[in-house]
Amino acid sequence: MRAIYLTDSKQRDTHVAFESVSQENDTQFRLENDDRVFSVKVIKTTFPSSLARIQQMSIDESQEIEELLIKGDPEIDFNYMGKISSTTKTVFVDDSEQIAYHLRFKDVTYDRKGQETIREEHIPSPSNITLEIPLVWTHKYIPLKKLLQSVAVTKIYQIHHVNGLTYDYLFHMAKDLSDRKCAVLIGAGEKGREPLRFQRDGLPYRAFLVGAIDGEAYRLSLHLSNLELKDYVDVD
Amino acid sequence: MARKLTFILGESKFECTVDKVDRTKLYGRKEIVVESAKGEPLHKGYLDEWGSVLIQSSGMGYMDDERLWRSRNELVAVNGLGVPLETFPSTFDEPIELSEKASLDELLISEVSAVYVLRAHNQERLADAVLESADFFVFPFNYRAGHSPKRAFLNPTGANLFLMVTEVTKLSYLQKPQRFEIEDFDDEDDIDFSMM
Repeated sequence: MRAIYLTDSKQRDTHVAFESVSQENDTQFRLENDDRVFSVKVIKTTFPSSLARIQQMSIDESQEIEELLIKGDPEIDFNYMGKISSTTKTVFVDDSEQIAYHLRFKDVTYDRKGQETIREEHIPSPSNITLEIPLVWTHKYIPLKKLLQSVAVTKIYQIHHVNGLTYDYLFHMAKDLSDRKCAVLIGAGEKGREPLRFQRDGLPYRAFLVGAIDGEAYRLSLHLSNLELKDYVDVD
Repeated sequence: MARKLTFILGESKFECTVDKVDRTKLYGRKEIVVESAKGEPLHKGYLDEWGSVLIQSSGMGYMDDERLWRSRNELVAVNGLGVPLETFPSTFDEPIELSEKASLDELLISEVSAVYVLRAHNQERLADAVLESADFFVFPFNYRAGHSPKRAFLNPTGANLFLMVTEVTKLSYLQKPQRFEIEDFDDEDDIDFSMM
């Protein structure tokens, strides 16, 4: 389990744990006689058989791409296609298919119509859930039904206590939210206005803490969303 | 032609087209691109384990214990216990009877994997009918025929009606930590200081 640095409604902060609650898909494949099979990664295309290389070959107008594909099999690399390739290393290559060793990373932003609007040097964004500043209980409460009708929650993490003291701490957070029948917005940064980022350069998410209790047991969960429930036709 | 979902609620039938909602359509998108030191665009590739070939793309295949290739249609899907899984048709192929109601908590503990906005000429009537009947209606959803249908919720939100395709999570209640039992001491019990 990973650690997360939380604050409660009384601005008391501590480190607790969290874990994913996604169900694992246990579907497997067998032969009809119940014999097992195993999946392997194979090479599909190599750079010499890529579409870009075939396009270069068809620069002469008398040799259109379709003609090259009909006459021969330039899209198939007979030496490597279908070969098992279990471990690979990611590289970046230039137009002449040479591996580049000096890389520059750029952030490119596109608008809703796919037009590039901003291109700037990439500045890595670190995870912000265990920084020196704890995540902020913003006191922005949202009724649960309104939350479900406003955003799509694509990821849920369960918050865990790590000892008796943090059990008490989390139980009271869950009870507070359960009594209010609301979720509370949790934010990063000193004012709690920034979204949460769980991995370096990971997607930023808005996070809502939801609580429920059952006797002395509690359920405290962090609901992440980066998508509002809006019809994009209305946004145009 | 756009595929349609047919809902049956009581005596009424509603035919809706579905339109996927995603971040790109709502907000645009941002990506990290890699350039050479001279500012020329670079393409992602992969080196195999011997460093002998520059791979552009890979795929998956299946082999049996004798290392013979097996095509996908020779295989049977089974669960973790080895029991064959039933194949369910695509939800678009059959009308959906809206009969299973779902509570707020059921959607609350589910992770959304896809969102569609539903469009129909009588969409407001369907949204009103759903709002009058339950918090949400839920039904099994398979975009294509497959083994593990997901759970889809009809979620009316004012002017729009959304279809939320979800997967249930294993969110659970956590108990109070109880590592030891405290034995009751009577006032008259002496505290043992010999402790040897």
